[in-house]
Amino acid sequence: MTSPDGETDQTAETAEAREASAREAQTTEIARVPETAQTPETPETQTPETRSGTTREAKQSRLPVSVLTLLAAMGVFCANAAFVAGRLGHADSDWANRAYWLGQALILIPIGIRLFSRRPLSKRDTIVLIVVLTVAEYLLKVCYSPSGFTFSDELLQWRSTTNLLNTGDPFTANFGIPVGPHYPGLQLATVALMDATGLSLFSAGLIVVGVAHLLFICVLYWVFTAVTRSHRVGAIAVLIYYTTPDLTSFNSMYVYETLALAFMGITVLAAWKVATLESRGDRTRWFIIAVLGILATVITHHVTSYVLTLTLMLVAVVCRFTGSRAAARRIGALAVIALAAVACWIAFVAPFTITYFTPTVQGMVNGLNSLLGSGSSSAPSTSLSPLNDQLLEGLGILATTVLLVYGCWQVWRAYKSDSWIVAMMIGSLAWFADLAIRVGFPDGQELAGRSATFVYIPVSVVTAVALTKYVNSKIVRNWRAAAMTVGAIAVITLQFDGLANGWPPYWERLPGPYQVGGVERSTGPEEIAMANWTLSKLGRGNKFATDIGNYPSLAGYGYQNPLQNVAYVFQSPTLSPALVLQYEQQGVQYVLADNRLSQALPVSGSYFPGETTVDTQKLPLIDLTKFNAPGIPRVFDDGNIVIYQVQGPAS
Amino acid sequence: MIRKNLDLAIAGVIAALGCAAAAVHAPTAVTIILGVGLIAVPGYLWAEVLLTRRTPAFERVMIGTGLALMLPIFGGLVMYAAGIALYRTAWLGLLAGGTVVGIVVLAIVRRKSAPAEPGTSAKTKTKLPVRHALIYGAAAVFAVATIVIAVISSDNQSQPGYTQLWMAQVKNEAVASLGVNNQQGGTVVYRLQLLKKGRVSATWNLTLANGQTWQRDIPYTSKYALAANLYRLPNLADPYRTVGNNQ
Repeated sequence: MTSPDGETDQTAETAEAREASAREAQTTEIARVPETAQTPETPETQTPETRSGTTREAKQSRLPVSVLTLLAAMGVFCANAAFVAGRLGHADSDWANRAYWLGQALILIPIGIRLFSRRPLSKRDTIVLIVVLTVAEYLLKVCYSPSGFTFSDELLQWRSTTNLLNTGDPFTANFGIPVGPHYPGLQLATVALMDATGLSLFSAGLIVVGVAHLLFICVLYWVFTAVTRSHRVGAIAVLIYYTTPDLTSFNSMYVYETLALAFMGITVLAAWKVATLESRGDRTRWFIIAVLGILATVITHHVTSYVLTLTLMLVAVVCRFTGSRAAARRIGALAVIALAAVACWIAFVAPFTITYFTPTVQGMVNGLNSLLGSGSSSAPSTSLSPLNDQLLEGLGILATTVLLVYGCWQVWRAYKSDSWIVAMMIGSLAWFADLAIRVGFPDGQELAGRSATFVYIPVSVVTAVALTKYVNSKIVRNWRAAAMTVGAIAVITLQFDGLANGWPPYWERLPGPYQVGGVERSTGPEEIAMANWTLSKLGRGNKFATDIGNYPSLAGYGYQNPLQNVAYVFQSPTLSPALVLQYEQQGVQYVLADNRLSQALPVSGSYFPGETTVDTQKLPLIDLTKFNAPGIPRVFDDGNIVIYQVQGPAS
Repeated sequence: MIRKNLDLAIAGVIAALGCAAAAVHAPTAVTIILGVGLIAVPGYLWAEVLLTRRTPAFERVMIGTGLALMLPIFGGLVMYAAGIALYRTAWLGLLAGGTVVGIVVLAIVRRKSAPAEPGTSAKTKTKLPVRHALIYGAAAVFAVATIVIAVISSDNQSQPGYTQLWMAQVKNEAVASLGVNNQQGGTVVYRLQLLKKGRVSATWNLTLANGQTWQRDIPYTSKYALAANLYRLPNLADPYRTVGNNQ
């Protein structure tokens, strides 16, 4: 059983043996593997040498795993020092930013080099390193806002969970994210942990998403390893997956997708077992696990359940044409169950999902028409990234594209009969659709970023195959050290690209004082206190016109209903009858005017939610104070934020 | 036989203690430890039910964790469909019930299953060298110190102070809530003037400590001008905050 890495079986090898197997792989290219291959590390395939091999291998390594763990911990410490400096008012200083990147380098580079290295590394140590990498990055996310949720989507989920706590009803309306309560998996798991342990919502939420995120990465590694029959290629694929822009931020936040990803991973692993195990009893057990995983995913997050369904369908179809028909039937059955579960959930529990996604789909269709019709995109750009980040992003896209094409070629040459890798190859072509979305559609950057979470899964496997093939190729055989260095640098550069162009964006990479038009740095004690005031004095669900910085606080802490597309309310110096008529027709009840908007341009590019253009001029103060007019009660004033009641309160 | 099912007994004890600790509101440290056990135990039991002994330990841990996260989701929805409000008692009942059923099912499965082949359950013991243990320990210290520093730094982050003033009508009634909240970081002396038709109708001199709130209900109408000006002493010339019905 030979892998793209040249590994035979899954046993740990000496360096010499691995070189020999690599040479063998050179001559035989990448061998085909049977469908019924065992998962790595099963006792049946382990030799006594493997089981006791950890210590022996550790001696061979110049960088023991324990030292790498310590370096990662020091990296977290160093990056957190940068966060502390940011909170002390040095968020924009060069040395604080350098400290942050030094910390990231201490985490990523040693682990990246060790996993990429051809020096033997046992499966156990590989798992330890992947866990260390995931935990280190998650700790950094926690250190960014260690006292409470500050990211807008987290605040919206926080509201859903608080509603469940208060009402005992998981489907209580949430004005900030109306579709959220229809997918209550995250809220249910969090509240169960809170009630069992007595932990606060913030602590319980951190534990739930932390465990889910770690579970997702571990399952991903296990699936990669199972599919490629090589724990080394699996580890490299995980390294490449770490280049996903939102992996260390959005996908480890307190949002429903984080938990659903873990369930999706378990389902895919179980599906692989169902397709490949020979024992009928074992297959039945894994089939049950797969069905549970499907149901949990459907209940927890809409898009993840759709991607899971498509994945199962794709694998079933590919199995039908390239592998065993029995495996195709089994995976097909799971795909049908997933499809039925999604359809039933939408039909009977979450019909609002269709309304929720309609504007997004329409925007994509319009963007596609525009792209096909004129040959150019009409998508406005809100990207203001520094040149360095843009260059890194361009380099990353180019490198990934080249590796992907090369990897697809390798897969096509050597893996035509391996259903799962062929399915991965077909799935990886979504990368090009992702690129088209990025440049062609309104909100393309955000959509592409969100979809990257899924698209990068097959892309990681295919590019890992390409990279492994590259370091085993004849051309670089005599220049192995240099080739390895180039490969490791490429992967680590891609990881830094993911961090630089992921979340938080460059303008709030470090926590610090309030910023106009920001996200985390626009949610501070003043904004939270204002939001709490609205809930206690105005009641819930009032329709607000507000800026992008106060939007999440109002929706989350305030339990209000802030509206999108309200820029027109603020972008005029006078309160004309036409303007009043327009906002009354939109149902605006309160206008929240934050005078700080007149002091700086928005760091995110836009002052108001729903805007897709970049604001290039400061908002004049008169645009915000024009509501000081007869007949408009001024109900709240804290110096910066003033709230006007433009229509009657909600009943 | 007893050793074979020792884990079932431990699972039962953890579930019982976890429920008891949560029910009697035991100290937080106790409820956290037992509560995490209460959440994790059903996952372990059902993973044992669904997986065979040949399954690698890493896979068992992953599936067990996944099942532990799934139980509150499925159970919560079933309870909700049955008309049970999802409060603490319901959750404790669900977790305890999931554990008890898991114990029973696992005991039956084990009784029915063939005895394990010699050696299949043999576990490999790998000693961690002292040097590596110390290094891992140092890494853990770094991690804990990092979290502590982050929390302290976040809690003590200096923020610009502010003062809230409000006059909000109470639910369509002829009453409004008038209030002041001081978040300036220290004690501040204010003067609050209520104006009716442009004339001062009431004055309050307020000395509010940081975080302190003053509020009261006042008669409210939209038929004539009603306003409140807050002054921050010693400046009595310019209102520091202003609210009103703007009539």
